[in-house]
Amino acid sequence: MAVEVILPVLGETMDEGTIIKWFVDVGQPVQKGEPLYQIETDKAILDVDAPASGVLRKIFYPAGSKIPVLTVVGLIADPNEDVSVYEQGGLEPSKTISETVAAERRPMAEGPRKGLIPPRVFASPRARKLAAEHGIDLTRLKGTGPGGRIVEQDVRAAIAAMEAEIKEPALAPAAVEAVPSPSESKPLAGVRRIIAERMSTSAHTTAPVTLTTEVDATNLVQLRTLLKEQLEPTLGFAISYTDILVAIVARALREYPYMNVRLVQDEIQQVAQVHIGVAVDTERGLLVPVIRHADQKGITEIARTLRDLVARARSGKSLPDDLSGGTFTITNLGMYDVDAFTPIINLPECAILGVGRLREVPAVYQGQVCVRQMMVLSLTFDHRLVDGAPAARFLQRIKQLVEQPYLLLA
Amino acid sequence: MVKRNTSKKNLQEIMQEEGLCKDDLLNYLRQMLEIRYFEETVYELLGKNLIKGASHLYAGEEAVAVGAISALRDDDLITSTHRGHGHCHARGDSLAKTPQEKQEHLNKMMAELCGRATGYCKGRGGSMHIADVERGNLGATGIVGGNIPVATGAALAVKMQNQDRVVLCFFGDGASNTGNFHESLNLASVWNLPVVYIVENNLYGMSVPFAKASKLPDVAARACAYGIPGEVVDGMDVLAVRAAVRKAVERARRGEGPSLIECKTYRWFGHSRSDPCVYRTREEEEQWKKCDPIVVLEERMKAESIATEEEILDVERRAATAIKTATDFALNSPLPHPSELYQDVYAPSKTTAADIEAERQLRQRVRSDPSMRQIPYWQAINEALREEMDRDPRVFIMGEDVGIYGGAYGVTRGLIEDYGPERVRDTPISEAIIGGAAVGAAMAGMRPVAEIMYVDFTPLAMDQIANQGAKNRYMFGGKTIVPMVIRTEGGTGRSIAAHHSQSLEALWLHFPGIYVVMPATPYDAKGLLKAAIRDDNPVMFIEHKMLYKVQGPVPEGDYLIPLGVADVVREGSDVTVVAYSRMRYRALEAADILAKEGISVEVIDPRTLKPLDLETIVNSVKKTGRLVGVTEAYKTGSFISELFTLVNEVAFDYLDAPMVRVAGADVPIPMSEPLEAAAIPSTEQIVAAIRSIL
Repeated sequence: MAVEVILPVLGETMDEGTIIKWFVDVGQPVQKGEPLYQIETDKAILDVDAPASGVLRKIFYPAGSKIPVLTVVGLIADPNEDVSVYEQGGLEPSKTISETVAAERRPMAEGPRKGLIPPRVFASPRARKLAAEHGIDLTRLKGTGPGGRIVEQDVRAAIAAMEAEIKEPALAPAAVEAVPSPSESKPLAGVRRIIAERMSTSAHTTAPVTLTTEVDATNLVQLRTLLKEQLEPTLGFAISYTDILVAIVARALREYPYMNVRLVQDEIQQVAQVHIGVAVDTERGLLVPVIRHADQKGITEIARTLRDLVARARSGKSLPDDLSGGTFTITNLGMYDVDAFTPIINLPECAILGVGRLREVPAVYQGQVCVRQMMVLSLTFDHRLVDGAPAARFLQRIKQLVEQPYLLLA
Repeated sequence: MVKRNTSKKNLQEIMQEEGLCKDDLLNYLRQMLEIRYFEETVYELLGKNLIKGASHLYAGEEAVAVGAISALRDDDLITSTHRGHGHCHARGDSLAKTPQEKQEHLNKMMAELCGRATGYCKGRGGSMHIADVERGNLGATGIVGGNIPVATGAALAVKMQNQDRVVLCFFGDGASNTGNFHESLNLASVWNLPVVYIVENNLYGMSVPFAKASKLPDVAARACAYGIPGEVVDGMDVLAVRAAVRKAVERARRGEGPSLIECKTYRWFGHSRSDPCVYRTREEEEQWKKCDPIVVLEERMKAESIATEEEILDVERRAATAIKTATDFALNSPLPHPSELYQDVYAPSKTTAADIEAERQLRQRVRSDPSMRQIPYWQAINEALREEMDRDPRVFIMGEDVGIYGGAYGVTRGLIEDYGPERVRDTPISEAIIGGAAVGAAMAGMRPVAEIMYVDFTPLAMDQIANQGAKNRYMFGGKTIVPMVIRTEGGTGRSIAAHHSQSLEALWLHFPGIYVVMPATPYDAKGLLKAAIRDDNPVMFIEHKMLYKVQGPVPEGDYLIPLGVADVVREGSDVTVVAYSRMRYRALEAADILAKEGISVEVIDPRTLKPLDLETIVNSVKKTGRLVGVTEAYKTGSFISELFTLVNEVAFDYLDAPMVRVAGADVPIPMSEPLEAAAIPSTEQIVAAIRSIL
């Protein structure tokens, strides 16, 4: 008998989804429980398993379709079964299917997706209030109160753990124990959610100001070309602009320690170490590996460290310390032809530097119009912690070091 | 003893006997006319929905109010009923000396009926609760028979102040079958109080004929049960009423005690506007209307040439104008603003921040000074009573067995010897009149401390204490105070079962207008009782029968504990326990046990449940995040339940655990010891409750 394939409800707040791809073509056999197609919700990318064994006879919505939940998207039936009555029947789910899905939505319902419906978190009002104040996600805590209720003490412990590592994981808190298994699609959702939470906390709690400055990077380009030519054979890789920029920013932070601060409760803490995070685009989403003591490392050492960090991040094998404890973040979108942008501060840090694309433009240089390599730097800083003029001086120093990179030797 | 006054004398004879002149008679006529027109106007305004609510009209009965009140002196007192417009007008008019004052009085009356801010009671009372306490009108009540004890208590105050004032107490035939009537007449006669009870027998208690409600045809006949004079008069004859009341008033003024006068009368309208009067015939109504007290007086004055037709018409015209003016005034007056809703529920507190601080320091000294004398709880209360009676001659004690017996638990022992039977009064076993007499005496200038032997008996006096005592100030527009203390005791522990062991504080907390105080220590008992006696509000002062022998440090001499200040008995950081009365001790025991395990318990005794020091409790909850409430009272609807709701409203986000009640079982307290003990919280239960949320 033909079984309709529906777009299931995979979370309490889910009301629509986009089909990313079908794993099975029309006419091919499917086994019940095997992944049939993949959808993207507002939170995650998830596989939907075949509801029955048979042949995928119809696909009503191809990849790319954005459709409401409970819509019938395909049909599984015996190879010879007459399914003509189901033609264009994919707009409304039949009653039986609705009921099946309704059953599946019940918290107690058995099914492969039940874990995706967030259970009610039992936490005291006091714990909830405290968690909200500190941006703690209660679903990630284990309660020690009566009946497993999360109480104030549990939240305090989480906050202490977070602060003890000064370093709250760049974008993925190391305190999180429930690292999802890489073989499933959950990790994507997890990282995505953390990103969402942290970005919105930053956007809602900081007083961000973005300063932009255009930099003549001709000398930087020259330096990078030289380093690449000279070192690539021995290193086995090319020194990147980012590597040099890390060194420059680390130097500037050492000289302007008021930018190397973080806000912890009501205290502005100046941090002795300079740990620079670099935003990296990975399959799992945005991650920010941290180069520790960047101000004490040479460019090659920075480059090596960064490559290792990025490799681990991209392969999902980051060590806990890889992603935590930064005091400043660099994010580079130049390779995507972005000139300037307004990055979001990576809390609890005070500022973030956005690097724009390098491009050749006619510029006035030493009284003559000539071709120069220009680049825009965007510094977003938290005005609660530092004022505009000091932040501008810091950016000006970076500009100076980019334009005259030999000053790094001074 | 019942006399029937059927005077057939002519007016001239009566005027001579009563010392009245023509103007007096015209005055009575005017007052009766004004009452009649007033009621007719009210009826019309009710129909137009310009007056809302109930209105029980006095038309037909005018001769009673006017005749009776004409026999009063300006400093005499009255109490009124739900059918009270006539009493209010006759009294207010007789006290107003100029035409302007008379008009202002009518204006305030009509404005009150219309619910206006300019009314006698700022629109709080309306038709059923008009009062002018400052000028001796102790007000009307919506409870049938509700003011008979109050009038009796006012008469007690007059007598104790050695004055020769008299209280006139109006009520209807319906009220004569309430317990209040019997308890009041009994007390008034046994104490020889200067009160004249006036029954307005309009033949129906709402719809039930008096003949169906009483075997005796005359209420006045019941006077013999109390050894006082009883008289039936023609309630349609203003001069007959006056003559009878005058004699009774003079008798009372001479100190010869109370009288009961029954005025046979008839109401023109139904019980209320919604009453179609199906219980009486139109013929009966016609018969009575032939004896209309206004018409009768007018005819007699004309017939005996005391007044001309023209003079009488002039009185009628002026009366009509006065009512028209009052109506215009009322309808053009502002309505009260909702922002004034909470005004006058309580008399303002006289406590200052300095008083609170002084008591805090004293408490610390009491707690830390090992050389301070120790006395038992009962003696601390006894001392408070002595000191307050020494300080203020208005303070007196009354109750069952408070005299030579010294009170059921010995609290008042020795007082009758030192203060005499006038100030330490043994009462009959009549809780309603004990409560009501306290209300009336307090409104008439005394500071009664009335004892109800067990809190289990306080419901017998609930109408008097709650409906009259607690509400009068508010209903009467904030124009009176009711400074009385009801001392009582509660709690289990003596195997005396379900009628002598309850903790009923929640009943008393429920009513606005009365404070509830529950001391646990000798120090608190003395300081709080003295403060309660000096407070201008009614106070329910509930002691605990198992604490009377508990010893504790009490400073010598005078000190006060402000009402509404909690005592942080023991500081702690893990959990807040609120416990009061005897449970304070068990909470402290629980705290001791848990301290050995390193659990830090903060124990707070609110001491006064109303006014409640919520701030201290909430601040503690904000600190600890946990709240356990302990009460000996029934769990359902207890003070602790209310406290938790209050905490929930203001400190929900500070709670780190559910609030837990440790309360009395919802069972009638059993007699047998193991059952009785199981019916109230034990120390172990308090410990377990605390542990359950840690």
